[in-house]
Amino acid sequence: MSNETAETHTGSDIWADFREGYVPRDELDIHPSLTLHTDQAEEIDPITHEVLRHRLYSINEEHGQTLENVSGSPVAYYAQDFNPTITAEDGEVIFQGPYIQFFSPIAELQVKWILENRSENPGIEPGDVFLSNDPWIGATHQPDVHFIAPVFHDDELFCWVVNTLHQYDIGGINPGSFCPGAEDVFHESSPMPPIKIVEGGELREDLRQLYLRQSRLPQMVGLDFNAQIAGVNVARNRLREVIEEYDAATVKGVMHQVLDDAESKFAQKLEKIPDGTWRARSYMDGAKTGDSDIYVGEVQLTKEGDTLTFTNEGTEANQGAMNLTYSGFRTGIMSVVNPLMMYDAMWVAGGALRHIEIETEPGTFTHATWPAAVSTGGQIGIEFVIALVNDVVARMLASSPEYKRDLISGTHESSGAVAQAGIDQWGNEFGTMNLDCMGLGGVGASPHKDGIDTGGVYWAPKAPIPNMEYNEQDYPILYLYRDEVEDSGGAGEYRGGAGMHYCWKPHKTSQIGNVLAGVGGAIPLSRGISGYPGAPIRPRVSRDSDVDERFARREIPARLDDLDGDLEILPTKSEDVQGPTDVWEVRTAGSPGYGDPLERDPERVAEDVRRGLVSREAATDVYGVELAGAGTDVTVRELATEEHRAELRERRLANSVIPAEVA
Amino acid sequence: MGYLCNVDTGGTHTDAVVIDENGDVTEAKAPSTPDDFARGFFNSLEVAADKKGLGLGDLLSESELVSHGTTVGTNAIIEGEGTRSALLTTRGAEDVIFIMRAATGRSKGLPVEDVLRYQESRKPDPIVPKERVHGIDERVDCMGDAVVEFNEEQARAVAARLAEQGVDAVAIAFLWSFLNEDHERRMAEIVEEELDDVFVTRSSDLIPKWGEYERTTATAINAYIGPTSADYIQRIDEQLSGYGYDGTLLVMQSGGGVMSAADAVREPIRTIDSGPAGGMIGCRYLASELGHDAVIAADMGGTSFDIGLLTGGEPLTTPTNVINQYEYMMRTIDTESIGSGGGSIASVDTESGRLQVGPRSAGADPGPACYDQGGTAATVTDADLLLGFLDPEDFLGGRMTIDDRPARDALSAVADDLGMSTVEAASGVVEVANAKMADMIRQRTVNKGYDPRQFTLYAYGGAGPLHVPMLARQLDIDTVVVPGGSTASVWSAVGVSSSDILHRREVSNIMTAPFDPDAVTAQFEELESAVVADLRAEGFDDDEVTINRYADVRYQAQVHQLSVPVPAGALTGEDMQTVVDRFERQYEERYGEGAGYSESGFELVTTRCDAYGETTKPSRSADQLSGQPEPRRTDEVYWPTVEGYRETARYHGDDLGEGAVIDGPAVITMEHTTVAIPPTDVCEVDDRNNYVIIIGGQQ
Repeated sequence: MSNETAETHTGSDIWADFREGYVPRDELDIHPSLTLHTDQAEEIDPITHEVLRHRLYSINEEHGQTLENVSGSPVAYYAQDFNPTITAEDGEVIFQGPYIQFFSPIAELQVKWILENRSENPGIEPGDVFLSNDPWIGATHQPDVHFIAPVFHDDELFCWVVNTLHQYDIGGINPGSFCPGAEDVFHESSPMPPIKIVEGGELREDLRQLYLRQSRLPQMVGLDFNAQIAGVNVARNRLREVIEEYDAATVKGVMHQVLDDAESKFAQKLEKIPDGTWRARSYMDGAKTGDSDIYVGEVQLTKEGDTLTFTNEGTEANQGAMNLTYSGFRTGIMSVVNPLMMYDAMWVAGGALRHIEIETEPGTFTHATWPAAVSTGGQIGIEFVIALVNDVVARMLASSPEYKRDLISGTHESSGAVAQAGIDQWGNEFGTMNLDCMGLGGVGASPHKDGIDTGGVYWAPKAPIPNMEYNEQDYPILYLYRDEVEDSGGAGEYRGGAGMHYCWKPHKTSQIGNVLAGVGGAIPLSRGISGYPGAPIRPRVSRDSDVDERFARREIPARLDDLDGDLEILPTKSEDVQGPTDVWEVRTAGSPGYGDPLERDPERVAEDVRRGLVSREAATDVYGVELAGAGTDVTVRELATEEHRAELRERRLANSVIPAEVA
Repeated sequence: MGYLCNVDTGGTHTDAVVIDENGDVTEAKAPSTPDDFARGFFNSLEVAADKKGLGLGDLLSESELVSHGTTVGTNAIIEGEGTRSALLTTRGAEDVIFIMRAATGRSKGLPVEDVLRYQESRKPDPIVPKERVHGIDERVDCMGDAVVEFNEEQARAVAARLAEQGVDAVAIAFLWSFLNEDHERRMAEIVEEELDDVFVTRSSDLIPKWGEYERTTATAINAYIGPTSADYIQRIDEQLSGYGYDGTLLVMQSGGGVMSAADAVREPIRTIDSGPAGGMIGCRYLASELGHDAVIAADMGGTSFDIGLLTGGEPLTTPTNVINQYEYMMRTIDTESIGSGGGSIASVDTESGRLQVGPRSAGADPGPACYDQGGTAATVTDADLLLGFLDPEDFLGGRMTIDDRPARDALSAVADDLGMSTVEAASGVVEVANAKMADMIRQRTVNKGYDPRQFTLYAYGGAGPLHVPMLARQLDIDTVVVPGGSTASVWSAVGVSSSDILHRREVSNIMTAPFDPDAVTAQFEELESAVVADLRAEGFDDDEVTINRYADVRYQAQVHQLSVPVPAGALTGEDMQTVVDRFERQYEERYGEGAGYSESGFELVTTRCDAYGETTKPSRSADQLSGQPEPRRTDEVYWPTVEGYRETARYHGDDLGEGAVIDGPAVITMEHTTVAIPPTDVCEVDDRNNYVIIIGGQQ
């Protein structure tokens, strides 16, 4: 009998997975020695449901709190670069925490792959924990390390708890493990497919060392390791307590009801959205450091009945260091669908995923095949996909009178993070990622409200940026300014969110090594809906500037252009050594507006001018608003505005041509 | 001793509580008067005086202490009705209060459901409009060195501009000013020279701590509410003197303790969210009497459920507080609130058919359906009535009649949607409300490394003594205390009346281990001499003063800071090691085994002194009664905890005194609240009139 079943179990084709990315089939091939717990109570009274739903959600919150508490590393804490997840026995995502959104839907792939390929050898047993960071199974890039733990009831696999936490450094040619100059994955940290790091409650010390040995900062990663183990243990214990208190079938019944409720909410929305196909295209600026070409990427969304199908047809081949694997593309979809369509279902991703099909082309830079370099996937590829998916989902919602109000015109137009290293002002070695990159105008406008100025990234609902004083204490930098950027929020009847400048010089050190990994510097990633796009990222440096002389004259320059130095705009993938009088400035992206700027309430335009978020020129030229007064005392000239807006409309008519006639 | 008077201003009512030397409590209510809260203040005292057969002047001239919990500052922020204020920052940091540390600005302090709903998400209106935020050319670095000297001419030009702008309050918050306050001080002098009659507050004086966003918001908020609050406090203080009160008005602080009117005028920010702090201080006082080390304080009123924790007999505090999504530095007693109170509305989700309770509330107007004031939505109070807990004949001491017909109508609509009987639905409403409260207690304890089983639960607020005892079993807690019996409904006021005067000073000055004991001692001594001088000036003798030292420590390059106690006197190297050991132990307790990172070294971030000046405490005692009390009658009450009716004895608080023992299931009706003793539990009245419920106490 055991021989026979052993022959019938093959799992998935792991070498195909490692090459093209794991795409789970509808029926998983799980070794018969492992029994999944499927017994669920059908009749659960609504009160028990509500009580248990809250309880399960709070268990997941406690899991997240444990990660935050035990880790305590700035990357994990300030960027809240982690997320806890509870999945059903077969991997469907039930609860995800309010942290980095693209970590949770990806957990499903890790769980399914483990069920298929680890259920026989080494086996899945109570007390086990698996560790994985393999982007070809489920990770946007290698630094996102997943800890995946089965929860058993009696001898049956009841459900899974998973957490994912971004490690500051896990190896590869650049400190920080973003390697924008990588030729292929062998320049980067090694992908680890799921390994059983804890066996029946016993930590495998050999494997722990193998893992920590990859990092430049093994102690910091070791602390995160402890946090991740503590997190899954806490969640697992709490779930066992709940199962004991309410019995397994009831708890499982509620889990499935939560999924079913989310599914039916999603399906009901789809009923009120017309069928159709929506397309988005954007351009990747440079495949790696030193490359100035642009590369086309596309996303198509077809809505037919109760199914959404996403494809990436028309996307160029994977190359350089800009690539994202299948799992990243898939999780990018949920990072958009959750906030735009699942806000009334607590972002229960599994419910929506039952109605989502993905048909991507392997070998493209948004579905990369091994051995393409993918370590920037979590910063570059994922942003690229999220922006395009936002475009198509927002357009789809715009076609539905019922759900048009829910659309967000777009996310931040581009992104980029600066990894910094050197000797700090206290004489010690340092390495960090400057988390000011999270200070974006990442929530675009909606049909009823403006986007959020410097509201942060939209797939991380609560992530703070560090105080300037925190960064100046811990790293050898001195800020000249950090401010909201004029005209960076896309124009529209409702304006997009504004981005932020952060500008610094090395302080009490001789130099800082900066590695920038970004996307969308040349062309905004998102078109928005009928409004204008926001401003994209713009990294600049003023070399050999007169900053010290200015300081000596008791002046703090408020703009980089005010400095006397050699001004240079940097590509979004670059490496640089910053000398003592080289001043760096990064402009983070804004997001698109919604609707016609000529329809914007002129009073709000005047207010934006007073706040320094819209320039006088843009107020007149783009919004058609004529202002009187100067500086912060401007007021609207109503008649002049009406006239100017009429004139602009006429000019538009005169300039408009039908493309067919041009031909 | 004379009377202890406390006035607590709320959104709709102003409550006065007068405690006499025997510990007898008189309560009075008057409508709040938002156009001038001072009127409501004196009206409520007048009602109280009247109840005692006194005139207002008689009451106040015989009062030993008059204390006050004010919401004037809080209201000004929530309603956006503060003063015309300005903010001066280091040039380059003008946008700190607009950027709000990015996503934190749109999510801080909000329930997760709101955080996830981007369609409605936004940052709050600015505390200070951009046109009144000005950058000054000056710069200090992380070592306290002046990198850019203070630009006197530019600063004076800005001050002139402020005069043109007609501002009446100025906040000054420069980068790193807590290490080097010279530039801020000079700026304040210039502002005072250039502007007449202006309220000036600077961050290096108000809250000299590391982290510019939370320090700047604190300073800006203090300026924003400064002039209005100052005017209000001064007026009340003066009128009190006019009535013959010869002390100073004491104002409740959110950090615990009260402060003199003069301090409240300078630093009104300390009054924000001081409401829950009063109850917590009352609990601290009670815990020391009862010898309880670890307490979960649970306050359930009409619209919200607030909890806070005491460990080692002291309330937990947090270094920052949040108002209107703005996080600001001010050490605050750590309480958390959810919208779960007697007025919370029960509804059934039309799509999923699930029962939801709260966070919407029927409030005081129209109130629960059973108030029969036009409310039609089913609330928790309606469910309490239908299940048989509330006595319709004797509600709020007979001052209010409640009607079970509208309650039944409202709940039967919920029941129909759920396909249940009305009483099952009512039970469900209570169960869901209780479960949410139990979840929150779990989150505040278990999630933070505290084991609820080691805590005693204190239940107060109007609805607390009814609901909270039912939570205990779910949390494996073995004792529930209803403090002071009927007084539980005004426990916050009792707490304010029992608060000591608190002077708290703290300063960041980041030092790396090994810490120099002499330097640390010098820093503490500087703080101490300041707070002791403050208390002496207020008339306290040395034996009435208690000083506690704390240090905020972190692992280098790690983010979590913990506050640990520091020994008194001249510190030695050994003492410094004790501080590090305490930090490491507390870190493990709080964040779990293996969370520490001692290889990275330690940093002492902030030193703090809390100095208390002892005030008169209210005495509280139980009535002496002979023999055990008899229930007034027996009712059928449906207990959600056992999902069924039980014959339940109904007692009245007036019949109970020291030594009374009551077996559950029982309900005790009191003038301002109802105590529910679940089946198999037992309640005893102690010598201070506390109702102590032992869970599973029946043999």
